[in-house]
Amino acid sequence: MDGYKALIGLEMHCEISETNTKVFSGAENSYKETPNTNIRPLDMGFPGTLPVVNKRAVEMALKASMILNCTQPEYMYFERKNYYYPDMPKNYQITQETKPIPVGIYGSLTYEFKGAKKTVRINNIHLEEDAASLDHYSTFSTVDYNRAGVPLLELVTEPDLHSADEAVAFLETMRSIYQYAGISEANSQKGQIRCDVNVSIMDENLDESNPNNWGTKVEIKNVNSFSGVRDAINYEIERQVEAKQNGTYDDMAQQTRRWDEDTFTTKFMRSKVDAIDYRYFVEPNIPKYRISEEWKKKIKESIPKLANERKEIYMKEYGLSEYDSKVLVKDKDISDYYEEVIKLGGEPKGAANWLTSVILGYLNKNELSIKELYLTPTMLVDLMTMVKDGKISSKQSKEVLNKVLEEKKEPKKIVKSLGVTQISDDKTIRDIVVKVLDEHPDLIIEHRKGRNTFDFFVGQVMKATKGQANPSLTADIIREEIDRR
Amino acid sequence: MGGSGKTAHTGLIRNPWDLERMCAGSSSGSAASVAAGVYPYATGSDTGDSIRKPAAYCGIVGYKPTYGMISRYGLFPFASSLDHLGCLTRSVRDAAIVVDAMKGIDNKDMTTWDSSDIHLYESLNDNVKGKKLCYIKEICDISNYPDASSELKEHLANFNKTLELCKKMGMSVDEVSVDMKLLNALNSVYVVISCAEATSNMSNLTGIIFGPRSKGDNYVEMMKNYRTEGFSSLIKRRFIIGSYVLQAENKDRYFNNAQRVRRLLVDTWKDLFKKYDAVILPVGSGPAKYLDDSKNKDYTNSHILEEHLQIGNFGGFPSITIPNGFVSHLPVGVNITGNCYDDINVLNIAYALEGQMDYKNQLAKEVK
Repeated sequence: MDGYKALIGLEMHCEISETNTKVFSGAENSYKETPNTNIRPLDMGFPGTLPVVNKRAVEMALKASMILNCTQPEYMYFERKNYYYPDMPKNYQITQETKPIPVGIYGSLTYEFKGAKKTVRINNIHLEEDAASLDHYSTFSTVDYNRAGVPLLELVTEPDLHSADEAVAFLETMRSIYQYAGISEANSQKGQIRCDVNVSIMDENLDESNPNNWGTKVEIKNVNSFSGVRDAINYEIERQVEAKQNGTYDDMAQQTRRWDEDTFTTKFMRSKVDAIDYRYFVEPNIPKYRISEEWKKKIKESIPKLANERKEIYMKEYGLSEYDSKVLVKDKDISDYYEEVIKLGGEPKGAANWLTSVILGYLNKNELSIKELYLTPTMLVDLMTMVKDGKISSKQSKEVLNKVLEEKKEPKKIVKSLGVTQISDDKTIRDIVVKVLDEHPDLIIEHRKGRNTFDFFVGQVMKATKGQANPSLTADIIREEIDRR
Repeated sequence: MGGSGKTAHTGLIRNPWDLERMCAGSSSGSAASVAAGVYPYATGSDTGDSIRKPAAYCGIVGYKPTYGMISRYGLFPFASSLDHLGCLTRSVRDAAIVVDAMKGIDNKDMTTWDSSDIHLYESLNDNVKGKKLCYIKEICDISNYPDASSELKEHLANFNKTLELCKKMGMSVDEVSVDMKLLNALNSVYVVISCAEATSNMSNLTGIIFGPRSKGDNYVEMMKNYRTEGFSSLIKRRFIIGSYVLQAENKDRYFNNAQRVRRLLVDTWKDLFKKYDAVILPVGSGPAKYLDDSKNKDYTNSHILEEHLQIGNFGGFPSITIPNGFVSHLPVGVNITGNCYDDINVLNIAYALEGQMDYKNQLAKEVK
């Protein structure tokens, strides 16, 4: 970066997807493909309609505020942000500002980046309503009000991030928090996550804790994917460094730009002097209401174990490697699946192996999520139990699993239909071992001389049993029978 | 919208007692038709005095219960924090019956509250002995209006007669004093807050999602044309004021200060309600004004008489106007305002007082 460092702040918008209804209207809170099928008069801004706050949404917003170590307000207020735009039929958005304080203010979040722990200060987190979605065509645009009124959490960080990769690592941590806390699916494909990014650069040697040393802030709006965030930041840093180098930096005004996904560049939108005055005032239709200590306590207690805590448990209690633990907690659904397997009696290490070495590979290859997997935790435990009880060998179990997924039948049925079942009966195996040893007296002598003929005997037993003999039992019996001669 | 009845959808609204005079507004047509006996009652909304002033000008009862007693769901809003629903009737009894039917908690309006244990009609009784009333010197004393017209003098003399009547009925009536500075700020506070909220509330009126769409090359043009054609210059002026007072550089000076003074006024009245059951005041500066504005005269300080009903909206107080006599053969009214949730008390005082006067159920008789 040629003597400069970047200061990056994020505004992360994440829809709350886990409420039944929208934040102020009774319309369902669900993603609908068909435009304008999930709307109520309020979502269309009809006169005489009034907002009614969704308590669950407030609860989830407070939960997020607590996870981010923010201060929660004593009273809940909403504000009106007034602006004319077709995505906002009332032509104002009900949101929260910093005065009076929103659901959360002045917190911090520690996340991991390249093995090191980093902390980002959170300026505030607030609850608001999402706008309608617009699609622009060459001669016209369309408006879909399905999204209007979906509860939205906006998180604003201080400029504590220093690279595109750090920003993405932070966003991934936040996504995981929203998923683990049951607040949102946080799916960018469904447009549930959208970001605005602030980027400025400053002299590497100067003290960044003094805002006077900061460079000119450029805000990039509407970045809708994590890869977009990475590209936009990298592009913007480069653009600003270039401006420093060619001497135009000092003329650069504080400005808002937008990320253009087609050209991979940022485009000028407006400078600070043209900033919109949103003429905020307290929303009069929503009376302020007290957030009681008891309610806060209840919400706090309802915060589930997040990815980090689960990872610690997997390493300390289940003895998994850090790598495997990370793989398992990366996706909450996978971690939930894993924990279900353990709850059903599956052995933690074995279950982790199944997941990391077989099942995740299968899901990746077939582009499936674990929720779409035919094999339920119960079935996996059944399969593991059959191996443990010696009914099938671990080699057989992999074949069984393939058939289970292929034929969509329970493991027990597959085992039955394949006829694969392990022989663990001492007498049956001993009879075969005795017969094999009787046929090869010369090899017993060779074995005693130190040559490895043991595997040959095992192989012969397997051949005679079509691979169904319990391998460890077979080895034990062979050893015993050789010693006896 | 507006306080004159000149901008009504159906044309000019004339006062049934005198066709040269106005009904005031905004419930001008409602007041006129109830006074004329066309309907037994009309519902209305009251943001500053829109039920209570027309009721006084038309010689009928106008009642605005406590904020949130009646749901605003379905009401075209003007200024949400000041908008009240209520009714215009020819008797206090009818007002109680109508509001009993309208009130109740509504899960579509978060500002409504549970009034299921309040039964206005059943609670009506004229036993008001021992009730404590007060009136405000700065509003009621004739010496505050050095250039008062004869109508204003008569109006205040008539009000004093009503106070005497109250005393005769066993109520105590005290004179109290309120800082003139606060009273002088009334209308500015009202204009700033109501215009700010109204501007925002009505920004959904673009003619695009609902209403007749205007022509235009793009949606901005369509919106501009619709709003230019559809709103009167009075309303446009309010929108401009509303936007101006909320702009970042003006907000603290105008909007936030208006909120502060609103709080001071409401606290002043709440202090009165600690000691008194209700505040009793004359409505307006006399009988209905002329439609032809050149015939109307303003007197020093009379604006306070015209504006004090707004305090009922600032505080969400239950407030009722009943006719209390005639000036220049035209009806005039008296207002009784009490503390929030104290509707029964306010109605009972009005009910008892009404029973001692001759204006209950009166119909407008055209005098000219």
